[in-house]
Amino acid sequence: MVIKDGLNKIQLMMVLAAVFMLCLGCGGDDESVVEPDTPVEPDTSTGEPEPVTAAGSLKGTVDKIDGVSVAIRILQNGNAIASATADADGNYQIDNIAPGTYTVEIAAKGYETVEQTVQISEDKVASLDRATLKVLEIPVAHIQGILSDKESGNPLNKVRVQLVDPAGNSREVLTTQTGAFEFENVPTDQQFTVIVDLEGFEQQEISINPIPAGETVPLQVALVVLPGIRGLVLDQITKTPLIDARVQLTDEVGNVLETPTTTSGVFEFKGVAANQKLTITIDSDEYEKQEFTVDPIPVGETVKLQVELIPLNPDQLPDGDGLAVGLKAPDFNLPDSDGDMIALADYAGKKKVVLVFDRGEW
Amino acid sequence: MQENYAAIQAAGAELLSISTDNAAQAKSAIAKVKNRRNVDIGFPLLSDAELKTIDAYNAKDPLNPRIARPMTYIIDENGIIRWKFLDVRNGNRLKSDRILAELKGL
Repeated sequence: MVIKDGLNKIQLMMVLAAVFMLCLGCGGDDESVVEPDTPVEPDTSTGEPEPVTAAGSLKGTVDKIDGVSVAIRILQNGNAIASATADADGNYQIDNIAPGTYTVEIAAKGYETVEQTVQISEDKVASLDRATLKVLEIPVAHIQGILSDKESGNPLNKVRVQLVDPAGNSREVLTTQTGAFEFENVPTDQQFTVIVDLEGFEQQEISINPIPAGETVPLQVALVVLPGIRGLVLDQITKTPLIDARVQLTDEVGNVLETPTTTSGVFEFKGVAANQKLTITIDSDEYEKQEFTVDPIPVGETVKLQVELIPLNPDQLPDGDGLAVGLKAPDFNLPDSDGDMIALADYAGKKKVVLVFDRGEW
Repeated sequence: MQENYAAIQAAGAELLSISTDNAAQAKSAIAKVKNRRNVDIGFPLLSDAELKTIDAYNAKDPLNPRIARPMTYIIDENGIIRWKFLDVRNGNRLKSDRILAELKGL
């Protein structure tokens, strides 16, 4: 809904003024602007993956190769799910895998990669046959790197890193606790692109020229946090948080992100377009739709907003749909079955009133 | 509803019902419930025969503008509507548990 009349414009300006004031203190690490009693969901974008409630394990052994580490990777439809390195005796175990069918990749520099299919079941440990890796007869090269958060310098763990060749074939690995990743045994005569696309961070694409046989290309990849927007949506009159309000964010290019507010009335967009004017619309049943713009946000910053929605007037609701929550209840003074008059005002400042309208003639 | 009237009062609220019934019809409704189920409707049944209050709450049934559409409000001590529930027409009425839960949440 386009803001139509003068009153609405004034109200919108009030909201924008509140937005502006809140933005004066905005910054990446400031947690204080959103109301203190409003818990904001913990940041999960770079932490451990969500614990799998029903999960199984995988274990196995690979013939050890002196001086060469062996990577075990679990993939599903080409997506890296989990990974580990075989220990000094060639044993490995990976826990906390959701039940399903997976491809297990056993790979080491200079050796042929072995692939096996495995079925993971709840509360069971799947065992793989002992694997023996054969020496590769063709010349290959390697790419290895470290992935970190540019701002903090901390390694980014369990992040998917993709290697794409010019034909569009791709391989995917996960970073380890130290942020390390490795693509072993890549062809020597090709260009590659390494892509890291982690939610909340600016996507990185790194071109790699053909690598001479036997060489390893080292990469340092640092991801920049994209701007974020966090907000609290309240009823303008009662100041109570609005749950399940629809919040839509549109950037200059027309990309749209959408999220509902939580049970605390909070919404958050991580990874919005940097340095672009953003338009936000907030829509909740029986409230006037709000639309406003947010000034371009630089990377690494989070803007915090507080938006108050105005309950719809009675004439804006369909006939027979009652009055919007947040409005002043109209007073009445009506006779009961004994003819005694009862007014809503009798309860003002004393009691809540549950008011039931009924069809009558019970 | 009357079964949970005490619980609603215990939650710090008063329960009021409004319909187009006049005082005599309300009295006969109270007697009917007493006869059939041996239950006292303890809360006031208010008469809005002219539909003034019903109209002020936008509660006229569009399908039958001479009566109210069933709906429930919780109004706080400051006279602000804090919760509203539109009953499904001719369907199941709102359960008292839900009202109690909403009252406790305010």
